[in-house]
Amino acid sequence: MQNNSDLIKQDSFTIIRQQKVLIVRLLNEISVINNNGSNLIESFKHFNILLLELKKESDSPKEYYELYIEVYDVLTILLNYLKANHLKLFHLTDIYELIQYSNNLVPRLYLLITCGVAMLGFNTFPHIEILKDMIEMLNGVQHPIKGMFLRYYLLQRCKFIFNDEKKAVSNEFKIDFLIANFIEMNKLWIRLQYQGQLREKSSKLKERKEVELLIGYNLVQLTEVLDLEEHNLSLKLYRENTLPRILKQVISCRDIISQEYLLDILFQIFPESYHCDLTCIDLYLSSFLKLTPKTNISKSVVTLIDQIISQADQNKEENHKSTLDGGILFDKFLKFLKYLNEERPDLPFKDFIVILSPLISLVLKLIDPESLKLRLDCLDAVFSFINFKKRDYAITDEINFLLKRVFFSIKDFIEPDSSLPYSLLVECPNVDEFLLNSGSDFIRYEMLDMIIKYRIQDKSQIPLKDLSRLLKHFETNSYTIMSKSELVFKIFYMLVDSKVIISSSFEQSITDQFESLQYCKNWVLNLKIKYAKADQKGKIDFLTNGLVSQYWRLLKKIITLRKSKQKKIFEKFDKTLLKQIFKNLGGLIFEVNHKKKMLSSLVLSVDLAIQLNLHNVAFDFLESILNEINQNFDINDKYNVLLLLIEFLQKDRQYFIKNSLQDKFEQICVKVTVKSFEMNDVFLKSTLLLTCTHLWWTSDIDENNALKYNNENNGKRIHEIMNKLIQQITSNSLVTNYQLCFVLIQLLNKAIYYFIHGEIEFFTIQYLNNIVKLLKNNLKFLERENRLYLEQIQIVQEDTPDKDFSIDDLFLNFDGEIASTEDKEVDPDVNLINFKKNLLLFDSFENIKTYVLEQGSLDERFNLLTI
Amino acid sequence: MVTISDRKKNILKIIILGDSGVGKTSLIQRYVNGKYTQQYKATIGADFSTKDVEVEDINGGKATATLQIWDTAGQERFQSLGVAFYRGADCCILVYDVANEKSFAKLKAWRDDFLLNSNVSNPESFPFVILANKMDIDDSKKQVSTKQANDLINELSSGTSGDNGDNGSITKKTIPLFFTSAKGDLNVENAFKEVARKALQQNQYQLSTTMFDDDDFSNAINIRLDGSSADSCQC
Repeated sequence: MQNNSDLIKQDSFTIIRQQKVLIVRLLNEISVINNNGSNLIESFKHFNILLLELKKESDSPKEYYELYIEVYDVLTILLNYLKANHLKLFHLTDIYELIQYSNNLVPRLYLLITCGVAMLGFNTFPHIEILKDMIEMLNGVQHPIKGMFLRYYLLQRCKFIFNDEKKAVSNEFKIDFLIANFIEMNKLWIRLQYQGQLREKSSKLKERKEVELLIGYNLVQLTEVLDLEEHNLSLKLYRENTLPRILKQVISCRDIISQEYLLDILFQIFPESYHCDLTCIDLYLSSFLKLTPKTNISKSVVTLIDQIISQADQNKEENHKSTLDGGILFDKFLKFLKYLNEERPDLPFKDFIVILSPLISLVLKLIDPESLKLRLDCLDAVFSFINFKKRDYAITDEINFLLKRVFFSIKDFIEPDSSLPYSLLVECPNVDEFLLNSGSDFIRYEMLDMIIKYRIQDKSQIPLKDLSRLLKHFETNSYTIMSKSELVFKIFYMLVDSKVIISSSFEQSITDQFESLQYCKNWVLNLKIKYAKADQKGKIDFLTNGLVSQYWRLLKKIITLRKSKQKKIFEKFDKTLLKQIFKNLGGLIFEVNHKKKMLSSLVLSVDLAIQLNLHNVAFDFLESILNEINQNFDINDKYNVLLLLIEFLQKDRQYFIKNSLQDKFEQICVKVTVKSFEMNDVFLKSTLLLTCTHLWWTSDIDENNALKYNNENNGKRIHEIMNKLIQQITSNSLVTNYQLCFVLIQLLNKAIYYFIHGEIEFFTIQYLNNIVKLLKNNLKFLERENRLYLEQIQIVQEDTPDKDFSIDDLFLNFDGEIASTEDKEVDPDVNLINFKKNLLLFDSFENIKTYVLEQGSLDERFNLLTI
Repeated sequence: MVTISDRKKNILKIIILGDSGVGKTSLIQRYVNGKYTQQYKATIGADFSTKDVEVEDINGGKATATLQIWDTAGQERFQSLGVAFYRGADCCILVYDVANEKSFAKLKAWRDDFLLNSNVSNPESFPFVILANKMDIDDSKKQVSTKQANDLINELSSGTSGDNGDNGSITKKTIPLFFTSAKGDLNVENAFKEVARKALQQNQYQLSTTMFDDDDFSNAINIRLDGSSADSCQC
């Protein structure tokens, strides 16, 4: 079949080329051989043969077009000949009449058009009459393909008339002519669908798509005509004369392919500026409503909006003042959506949704960011429409996904730090409703996440009035809190703004932020009551801690004020407000379930209270910490909390002394020491107690870098603690030799420290010598243990590989265990480990010895030590 | 006797190809009508404009010719009737936008598409001219360097060069490249002058190679001798 049709096509080509050769010979030689025009008449025979090829049925419009192009070239020869020899060899009127006698319709019309066009080249002929005659003649051809190509031929030949700047023919006539041709051509095009044998629908569709550009050519010529006028006039012609008639045809033809194609190219070939004209937009929108049910409306609406946006972009690029009013345009489209909703209940939801993202971009591109209120109103209206439409449809995952994309399209048109997404949530009730009903929690949180991200970049705090609206989204179920606590955490972070601006309104701003914190505190406490059981992973604790740190941030701002040059504002600051903040903070911290975290938070809060000179608050917090440290508390946590507390007390010792709070401070220190004595682990206990000793000792350094004795130092108390520690470990038979020696070495170190720092009343040579003696006695036992171990090894040496006895890179931790400086793998052999531990202890003792010897040259007292 | 060149004016068929939006229509508008408009209008289908010019012929003499410049749709969907009009072209212009890397990358594909569909008898020496359009734009926006352009020209030129054209054919030369701006009227006239020169060379080359072995011509004579064609005429 294919080969057969190829052959037919080749035959046609051959015929056309053969005839062309003959025609060229006749028309070129005529000037020499024959001057009465008879060669022209002779040539018509050949033109007839040639043009009959265009009368045949063709396999496809594409093949017909190939023949048409060949024929066109040959007819150009005729056209040029007719123009060159008019009045010389013949009169064109005669030729025009002569051709009328030709038998075959299609060849006759091609020849008539060619002759008519030749006449249009002369001013002596009535142009309008000729044009009218030609277009009327064409009504006789009702075969779709042949008719369309003939009309295309007419247009191609008459192009010079359409874009003639001298306007020998008025533009109004040209428009009438082109529109008449367009309407007839469109009818032929639609007829193609129903003509001939019943062929497959898809092949019909293919044929129709192939010839569509012939229809489009009419509109291309229309743009050429309009281009001849100044912009304002051409727009007027388009708006009042051209467009209404085109749209009328688009609507009345009731053909899907035609409607979709024409609306597409209408936007493609006429300038964007035409489509931005308000009257034109009205014309477009009202015609969209009247389209045939299956025609894709939304695509045209989207294209129209894109054209407007593109024009706005171009105006901006060229720094033209834009005359496009985003508010008015938005109203038009919104109204259209509402009409569409009423008129076309058959349309799927998707068709509405695809229009919404472009509509949002229209709002954000055309309405200035400074007109925030207007932008918000427009966007709220979009979401109001969505909320309204959602009630009528089953909401599938796909719809949810599309709606989410609509929401996210906001992101493409705003600055990275825009406050718009946040304002949308708190100021647009419809956006809020949209989010609350957005299908899955997952989608909702993606959207909330975006809003919050923008808010963080925006860098301003969240006011109290917005909190309920924001937090409402997280209250819906336990899943929310458990999976999205990070988002809530981010909200908390924005309760306190990062800037510290010290002005007369400082106290007010602190009060406001404190109120927000209080609101959130109550919110968190409610959560705890509601979801405590569901909270497996301690997410509520996570949130509570997050909120605690926001209280701290607020307090640190006040501390910054106190330390600043404007101290006076701080002095006037309402102290009851400060106390309230701490009271709130304390209450919140006590809600933390994780005890170590809770106590550490309390300790850190004491530090802030001291920086704000609130010693009563500080003591209250300290008391409550000590009350909380009780027996049923993990020993390591207890150790850590106590150590933190001791270090803190040490740091602030001078503050308490200076403020004559020594007695109260002393009480706290004693309690801490008692708590340290209660520790069961020897190592932890000794570390804590030896650190505790510093609570009664401060070593200052004077201007000359020399140690300065401090009157508040209490060597007696330190001596007591140390003695009690020695007593406890020596009298307890469960304490091992190793533990004993370990503690004694630490103790000796500490004693030497106080000895050097000038405590001479209790830390005497004799006292130190006693400790050394005790230590040496006990070290002997360890030496013996090691000897025994080595002997044992030698016995079984034969079948064991060499052991690594080296203690390089190893040291002893505060808990008495071996640690390595470089991740060395520790031999799992317990005996070997113990052997090494002992070695390390000997090492430590050797270090002390060396130190004492060296000090001897500086401080004679050291020479008296019997080490 | 009349000579060929007296008898009829040469019609030189030029095809202009390139991606959508590179400025094909604007270049033709600038060259043919001396006009430029900022408004973008998509071209649908294909259509030509004509311009009469004086061209330097292969012997250095002057010849008059009508350029038939075919504007084409860069968007494939607007070329639904196919590209039958490529046939009989005398020169092909390939256009890219200097601010659009993709349009540059597509040049080779446009060239290949042309050679595939135009059915030219001498694909290895058929004349192409490349226009780098929109040179008026800010340097910072340009995406295609002169070096890249030259590299491509070397590739396209060597890719098509075969013989050195001893038997009268046009010797393969480097494809000319012009940096143009339809907006700023930069180099457009020069570029088309070169296009016309190349097209005339191609046209004369075609004429010389087909003159003596034209099937259609000899067939036509045969038909005329046996008179069958005259009978089928029904006017």
